[in-house]
Amino acid sequence: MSLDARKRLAAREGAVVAALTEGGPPPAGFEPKALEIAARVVAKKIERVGRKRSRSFSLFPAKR
Amino acid sequence: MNVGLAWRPELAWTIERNRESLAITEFVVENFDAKALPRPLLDLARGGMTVVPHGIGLSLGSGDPPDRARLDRLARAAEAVSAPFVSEHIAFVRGGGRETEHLLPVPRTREALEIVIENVREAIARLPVPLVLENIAHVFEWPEDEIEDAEFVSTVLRETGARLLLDVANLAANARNFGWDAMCWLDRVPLDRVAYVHVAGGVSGCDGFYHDTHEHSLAEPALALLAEVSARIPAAPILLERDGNYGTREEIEAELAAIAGVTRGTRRVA
Repeated sequence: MSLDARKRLAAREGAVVAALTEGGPPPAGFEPKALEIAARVVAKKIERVGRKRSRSFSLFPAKR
Repeated sequence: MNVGLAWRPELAWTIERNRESLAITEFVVENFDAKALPRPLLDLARGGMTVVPHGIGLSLGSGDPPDRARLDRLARAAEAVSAPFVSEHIAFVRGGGRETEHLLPVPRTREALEIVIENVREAIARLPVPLVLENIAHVFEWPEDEIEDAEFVSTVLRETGARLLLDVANLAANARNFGWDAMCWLDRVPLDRVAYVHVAGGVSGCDGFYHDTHEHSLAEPALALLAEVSARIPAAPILLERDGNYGTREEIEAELAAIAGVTRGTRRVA
């Protein structure tokens, strides 16, 4: 597959990611409402993953 | 019972308690240091349980080729648990330098299909064990989609030799949210290439969307689809995923029993 095709796909996906994560405009062809639910899902996931990574979990917690 | 439970630290004790009856487990590669996996997980592998490294970050549907460091990490994880295969998704998770932490659908165009095939081939070439690919739950569909999902998935499998991780909850969610015909999807993908099956819970939101949360009980449509899949491919191991709201050990065991009941045909589904 040509480099141009990869660049086209990367640009298209990048525009969707910007719309989902930064409230950017919906990329060409998308209905304005089509990505709203997806943006909420992604925001929740980013928050959940951040929460998990910010805590250390031990199977054998220290005695208090 | 050909049933398994995904390994999470919060579920380690439940898996340990049920290890004699569980056939398979998996762990999310990105959540652990592949050189220092948790001892209970390594013990399960040494004890003969099938342990599958499950990747969520390769982004095989991206315009960029798969990252070498991520592939090496997946390879190390496979070797650490003597995995028969590793699994990933037909999806992309990043773009424009931003991470979404979520599995997003690839545009189903012929051009993107060729790129996914190339990425998967490159991944397979760098992995010490076979690669298994999962169908995802879509949170949107692309306006330029030109290929049915079943055809897209089947072509990737055929052209790369990868096997399928069939997620029935994702398929049920796509049927519910986008009007897919799940039975036709099953008719059109090569079920003889299924390595194992995923099932997980979700919830219908106030937005009218079914959310594949992995934090709620198994939903009836997923169980019904699981019964269908189990009838078609009875030997495929079925793995329950849970990623939050873990509840009690008894609640998880009840979910495992429900899955086993469906596969035996002893539990009626709607």
